Amino acid sequence: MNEFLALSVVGIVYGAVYAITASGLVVTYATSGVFNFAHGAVGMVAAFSYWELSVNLGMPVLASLAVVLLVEAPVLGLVVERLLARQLHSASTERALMVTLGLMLVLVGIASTVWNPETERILPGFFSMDSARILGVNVSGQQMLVVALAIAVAVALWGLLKHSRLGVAMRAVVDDPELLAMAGASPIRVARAGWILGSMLAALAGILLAPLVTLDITTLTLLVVNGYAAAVVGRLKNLPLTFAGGAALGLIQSWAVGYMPQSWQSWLPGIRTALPMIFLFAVLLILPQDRLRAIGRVVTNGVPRVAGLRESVAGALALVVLAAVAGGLLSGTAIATISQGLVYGIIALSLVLLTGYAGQVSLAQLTIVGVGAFVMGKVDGGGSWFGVLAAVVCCAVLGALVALPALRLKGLYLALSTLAFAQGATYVFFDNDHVFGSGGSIAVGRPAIAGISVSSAHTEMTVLASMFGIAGIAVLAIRRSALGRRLVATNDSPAASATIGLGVRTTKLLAFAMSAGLAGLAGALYGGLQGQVGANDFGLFSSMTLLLLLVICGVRTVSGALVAGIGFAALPVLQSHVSWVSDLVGLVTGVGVVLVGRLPNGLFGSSPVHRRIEARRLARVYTSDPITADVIQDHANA
Amino acid sequence: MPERPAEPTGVTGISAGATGSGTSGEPAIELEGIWVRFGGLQALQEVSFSAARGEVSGLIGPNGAGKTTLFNVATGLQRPERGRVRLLGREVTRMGAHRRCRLGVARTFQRLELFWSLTVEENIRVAAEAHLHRRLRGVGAGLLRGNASPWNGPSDGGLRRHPRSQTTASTVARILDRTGLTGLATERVDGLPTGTARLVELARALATDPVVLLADEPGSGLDDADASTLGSLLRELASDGMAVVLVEHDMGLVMRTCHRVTVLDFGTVIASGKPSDVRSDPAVQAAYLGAPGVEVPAR
Ligand SMILES: Nc1ncnc2c1ncn2[C@@H]1O[C@H](COP(=O)(O)OP(=O)(O)OP(=O)(O)O)[C@@H](O)[C@H]1O
Ligand SMILES: [Mg+2]
Repeated sequence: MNEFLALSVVGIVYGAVYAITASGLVVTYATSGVFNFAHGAVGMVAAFSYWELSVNLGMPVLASLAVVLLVEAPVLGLVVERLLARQLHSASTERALMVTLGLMLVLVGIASTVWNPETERILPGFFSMDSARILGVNVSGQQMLVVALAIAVAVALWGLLKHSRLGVAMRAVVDDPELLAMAGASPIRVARAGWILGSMLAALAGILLAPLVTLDITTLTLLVVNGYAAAVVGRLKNLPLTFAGGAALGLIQSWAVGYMPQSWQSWLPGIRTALPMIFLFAVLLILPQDRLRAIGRVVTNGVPRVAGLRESVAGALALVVLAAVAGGLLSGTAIATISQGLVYGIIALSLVLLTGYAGQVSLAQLTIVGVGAFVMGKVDGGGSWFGVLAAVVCCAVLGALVALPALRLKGLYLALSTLAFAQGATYVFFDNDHVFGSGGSIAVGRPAIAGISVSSAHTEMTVLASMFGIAGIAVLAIRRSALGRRLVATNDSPAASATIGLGVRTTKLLAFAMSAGLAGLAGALYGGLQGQVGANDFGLFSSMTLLLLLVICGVRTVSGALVAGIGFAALPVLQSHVSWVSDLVGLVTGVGVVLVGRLPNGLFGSSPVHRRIEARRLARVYTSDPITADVIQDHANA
Repeated sequence: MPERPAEPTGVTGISAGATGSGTSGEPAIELEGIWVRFGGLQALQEVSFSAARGEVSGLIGPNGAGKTTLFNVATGLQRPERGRVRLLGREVTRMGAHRRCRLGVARTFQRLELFWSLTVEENIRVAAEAHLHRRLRGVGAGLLRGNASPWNGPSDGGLRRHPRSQTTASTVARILDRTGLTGLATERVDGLPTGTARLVELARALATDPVVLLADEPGSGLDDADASTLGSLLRELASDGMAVVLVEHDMGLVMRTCHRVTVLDFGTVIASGKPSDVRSDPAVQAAYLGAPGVEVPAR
């Protein structure tokens, strides 16, 4: 009984923090329609700032709190609203998602530049308050304070939403911004208030959480992700449910720590840490979803032209020749970087299929790649073509399995479920000694080509270039096929797709399976290239960064995938030359995404439309109907 | 504000009058006692409506009357609280949108729902392909519970490839031609003017070879000449045996095109019958002229 109570107290304390952070997310979402993926990062920055002031500079606790909570956090919220959120007002969910993910990378980058992650920091609780015995359980002052603050936040929010004009406006703005405008409130003012309030709540949660866990950039940024689960319980709207969700998550986690059978924990050491992810995944799955709805015109301007077969083959050949020639001129490091970049490029291609064409956002692509590398390493001696095939098949099946429950989810919720999957997989699979051994890595070989094993780096690069070329040709061929049109159509308008008889779910499932298969291929190649793979290669942050780089370069184009892949490999190399900033990759990517937020096709997707080529192709298709063919040709030439 | 129905021409000789009046066949689609509620708003209340093959049935009513909602119910995008939907005599009330399409319902959307990243031709083609594969698979499709197999594209290779894509191509060419869109085939739809985009929606709907065609304000954004071409096209489609339902605010177009007209107001049917009778119905006139406060702001 005592143990149960003690565990419950801990659970309630964590639950209280989750509830605070989740309520911030909900407030921002409810007022601006933007789900802020950077919410956790805001909390992380606040916790570090608080440490800087109170510990490093020795300011009094209350003064430090005041500076962080009442000055820094509101200003941060305001700046974000002004610079980012406003341009997202009528943007698609996917764009908003990318931009806030970018913001998260920027904040993480800034934080790791300012506060060197190597240094260990301790953030003490606020006051050295005495602990009290409640019902025979020791409860520390900090714990009581956290719970009291959560209750205070709940009451304050309730009061604000019920009784102030701002609160009424906040509730109206999600349901119908135009209605709100008619009632005389400005949606922009309301959204600004929401961002400020959300940012303050994130900061409070970060400061409360840091002493409970550790003051570590990644941990804090991701731990606040746990709040996402609570927010989703409230369907991003309902604050009481959100608080209940937070409490439930905290309790479940804490009880699990106490009561989970020892055998589970020895087999899946990460299971406890992964609980919030499993919780989030489960909540997403049982959450009632909106029905397919016609939503009317979403403006997408200038979609990049799709290259024809001849053009894509020519491009691929050029790439291979370039690799073969350049290989003789480049240094070893450059060759290694480019080879890596080509593999990342193939991963990016798998995202072109999934995100660019089918519009499904996955934050777990490198998780799939990791499984591919693992399968490659384990099957048939760890370096055979059979292993490559096994990796592709296993990953395609895995992709479909992951997508299966997620099929009913759309946009934001889908992204959240892939995030839960990626992070959960890191905890229970990649960090698991039973999987990658206690050294944390396994060896993977390269398959031989025509009986000759590929040993020189130069040859390897050429092989990888041809692999990328083939994958690129395949991706473009899929886009030009009936299946490709289906993918794009289902993305552009699910409602219209259904009314012309396309099964939306089947299409999505296929997109996931194909994309995962390609990612599996990339995984096998990655393993062969590196020789050794470990858990660190396949983290959530890497998945996000690569996806965002691809968005910058053009998420619907093969050339975009190539540039993104090379960039993803090259940025860490650049990093070693720029010592005054850490996490260059994240910073560049984050800033880039925020900047190109306005270019829906990325930097490389805005090339002019070549109507004539398309017309010639169509004319060939319509040879059975000479008149139509003529009209098409004439029109294109006009 | 909808146009006032009073127009001197009325049902004029402009329409081809292809079907003799009174030859209306079996109802192809029947909606019976439909109720739909959105929160506090009763959008449809005990609405019954049917459309027969060979006819253009008009569905009119002031803004917010519930016309689009009724289309959503008919196509399976909105589940009614109460009421039943029958398609060619078959109960489909609980059937999903994509399966209903395979039974032969197609529609256009008032707020455009085009495939914005595809060209005009591809928009039509994707619908034709979805439809063609259903036809080719014939009975087998029913056994597989009508779920679309992905392997329907030209990609499934082999001997059937050629004839299959040829069939699609000729279907698409025919529809492009019939809707007058041939010259715009390679154009991306996101650059088109609204009126033309509406035609693409219509063409895409036709590519599924429907028995019932629901057109939601297809004429808005078209100039008078194009609108009357559209009217004749709808009449022709009906005379080919399709059941066409037209929602339209352009009263002239409705009067010229429709064989029958049903009037919705505040979610209930207030009149139904021949265009000329409906037009002179006092309840309809009242609904359209409107008491003050009836006007609903545009959404
Ligand atoms: N998804 C929805 N959620 C809430 N209310 C809705 C929804 N769809 C429609 N409504 C409401 O239902 C009523 C009927 O709408 P509907 O779009 O069917 O009217 P309509 O006759 O098509 O009007 P219009 O001529 O303007 O197109 C309107 O008051 C509308 O605001
Ligand atoms: Mg309507």
